[in-house]
Amino acid sequence: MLEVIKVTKKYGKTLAADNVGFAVPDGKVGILLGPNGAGKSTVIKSIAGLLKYKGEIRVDGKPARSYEAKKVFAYVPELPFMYDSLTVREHIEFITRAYGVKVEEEEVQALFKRFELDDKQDKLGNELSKGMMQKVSICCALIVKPKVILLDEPMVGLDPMAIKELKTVILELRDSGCTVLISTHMLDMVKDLWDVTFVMDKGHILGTYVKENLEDKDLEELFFKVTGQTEDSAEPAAAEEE
Amino acid sequence: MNALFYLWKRRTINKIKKSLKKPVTYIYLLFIGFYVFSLMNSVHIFFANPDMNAFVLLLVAAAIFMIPLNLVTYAKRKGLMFRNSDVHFLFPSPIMPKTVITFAFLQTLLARAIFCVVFVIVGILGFHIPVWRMLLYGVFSIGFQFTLEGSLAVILYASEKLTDKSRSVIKWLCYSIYAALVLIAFVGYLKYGLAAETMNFFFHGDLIQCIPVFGWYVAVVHLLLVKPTVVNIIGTVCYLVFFVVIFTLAKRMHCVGEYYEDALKFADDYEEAMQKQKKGNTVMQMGKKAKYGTAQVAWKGTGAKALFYRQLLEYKKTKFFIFDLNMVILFLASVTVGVLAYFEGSDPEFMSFAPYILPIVGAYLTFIMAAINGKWTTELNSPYTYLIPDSAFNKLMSVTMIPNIKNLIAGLLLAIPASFTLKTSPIVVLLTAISYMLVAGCKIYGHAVAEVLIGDAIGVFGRQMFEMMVLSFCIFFGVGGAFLGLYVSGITLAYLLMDILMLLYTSIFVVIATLNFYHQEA
Repeated sequence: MLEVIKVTKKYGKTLAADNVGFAVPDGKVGILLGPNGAGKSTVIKSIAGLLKYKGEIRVDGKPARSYEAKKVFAYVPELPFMYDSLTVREHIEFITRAYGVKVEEEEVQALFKRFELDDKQDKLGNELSKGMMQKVSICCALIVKPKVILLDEPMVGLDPMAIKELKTVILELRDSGCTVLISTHMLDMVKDLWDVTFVMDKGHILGTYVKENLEDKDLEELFFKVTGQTEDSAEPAAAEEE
Repeated sequence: MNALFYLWKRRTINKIKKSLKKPVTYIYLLFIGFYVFSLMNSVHIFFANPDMNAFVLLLVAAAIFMIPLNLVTYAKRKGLMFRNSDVHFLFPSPIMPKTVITFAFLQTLLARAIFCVVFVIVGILGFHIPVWRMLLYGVFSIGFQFTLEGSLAVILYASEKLTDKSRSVIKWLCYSIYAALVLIAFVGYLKYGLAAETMNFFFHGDLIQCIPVFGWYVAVVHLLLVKPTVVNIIGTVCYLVFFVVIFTLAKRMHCVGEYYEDALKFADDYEEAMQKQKKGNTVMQMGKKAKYGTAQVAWKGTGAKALFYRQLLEYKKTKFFIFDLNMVILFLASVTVGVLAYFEGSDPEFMSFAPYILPIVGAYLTFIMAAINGKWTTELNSPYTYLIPDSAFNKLMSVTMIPNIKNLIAGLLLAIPASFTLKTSPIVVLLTAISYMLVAGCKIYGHAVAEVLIGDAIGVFGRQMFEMMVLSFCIFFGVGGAFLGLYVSGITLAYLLMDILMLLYTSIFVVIATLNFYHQEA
């Protein structure tokens, strides 16, 4: 389970996240939606432990910055940055050592095959295209078998085959009880994946939508309404207001 | 630490492997070999009369440059290097933030540890210091001093209890070490004047050893390498107590990684600086964003002219328009030459040489700043420059119009102030300004040729070497013209021929750049 409790983050005088709170239960896929500048990245980076903030974030019931929480947490940032002089295979080796997990070679090879990296294992980080880097970043996150995984715009830069594979992986993670939080602009990409959606704008959570409560309402339409991006803006329907 | 050691090991091995595949590595090795060989051949001159005090002086001088500044950078959370890859993989991982920072610190130590070993060897072989003393010094430096600095780095960088205000106070305390050193040097000067005793007083006296933290290090060095005195024994005790306290504090300090936010910002800035450097632009101050106001230009014409107006608009938005530090330096250089000419005006030897000082200064400044390129180079890296429907010549001229105007103004700033006391004619003043514009112009078109023709084929360093070579030949031709003109007639013809030859030479690069200004190679 991932819990974000009253998180507030300021950059100087700018309030990037104001009392943000939401939770993604075990075995559910949460989507953090919002227009540019909504504060999504701030929340994501706070969850990943990269920013100072006021409030509390809990991963699997433990404080997000604790060793125990980090052991079960994986993060795929929006922009992947590889170690220039580590090969793809060495990135995996480094991550397994950092997380202290034992992984069989077959598992690594199966993962590489899934993301078509099996012939790129000896390539150095600075020899990879952006899409390849994103695939390595995803593999590094998956190899540690996390209980909570955070994916920031994970589809950007991926080819259609990899997007399809990633969607399958996300559903598999969900089915195995993993908590997934995806931050994205691309509503189309996540429409088959989500269980709960948090719409964010101007540093606030505007609405929380649970798929099973929405019946046949369109998420895209709701998003535009709640963010005021259509003329007939309305209160979030079937929403648990924050 | 196991994962971090793995990371360091693999990165080092892969870097070496990759370097060995590049021919330029062997050229560097050749240079280093030659340098070491020359050093070995000349080293006996330095060690003809080995002096223990001279060696200690070297160590203290090195410490003056390193210790306080290192502490300042830690207090500013800038001394340790983090890359975006660390932010991506390391920071969210379950490796403790204190371990991460220790690892970052250890990475900075390798070069210093090598220096330390070199110092030990030089001390034993060159200065005939007893082996046991030098070994003790080695153990002290690597075992104690590095541990102390590491502990201070951990506390200053990663402490979550230290406020920004207290960090600022620590930063100023570190700067005050320099103030104390200046004061000691001043006291020494007052006592002994400009004499060797002043050096002794400064480097080996008791006062320097009384400066907290830094002075205690100097005290230990004196105790280990010279002889025990009351002051250096007290200083050493203070050092040891300080060591124990700081090490214990660092070990016990609680840290959940709040410093990651600053490290993240540093990594971003560093990456940006690296990108700029790869394109041949030197970054003066990392993390400083350019400030732009509002401005307007009256856009005239179409095609390549848009490039000129875009640059003009950008310059109008900046605080000092087209004026920059380079112009200030040129102006000050000219004023200095003018003042010299005022005082030395009666010396005919000086006055006969004086008019040539200005072009020499201009050429020198252009040459030493050969690696620094202005705003206009961004045009060369922009695909739009190549897509604009206009002739290559028009585009090249539009792109370089403002830099050329800037250089002419800079040339005038170099030529005019000194001319009052040098009593040079207006035509020579103008020719001096043009000579500066031509040298700087040669740098511009040499860079354009390097960008559009060579690209990344020989790396950034190779490209810079090429540009410096182009510039050297330009200066060479200019000097040749000046000598010829001076031999045939006098100063005016000297300047005229210098400018004509440099113009002809630079034109070659304009033509080469124009012929290749159709595609983006870099």
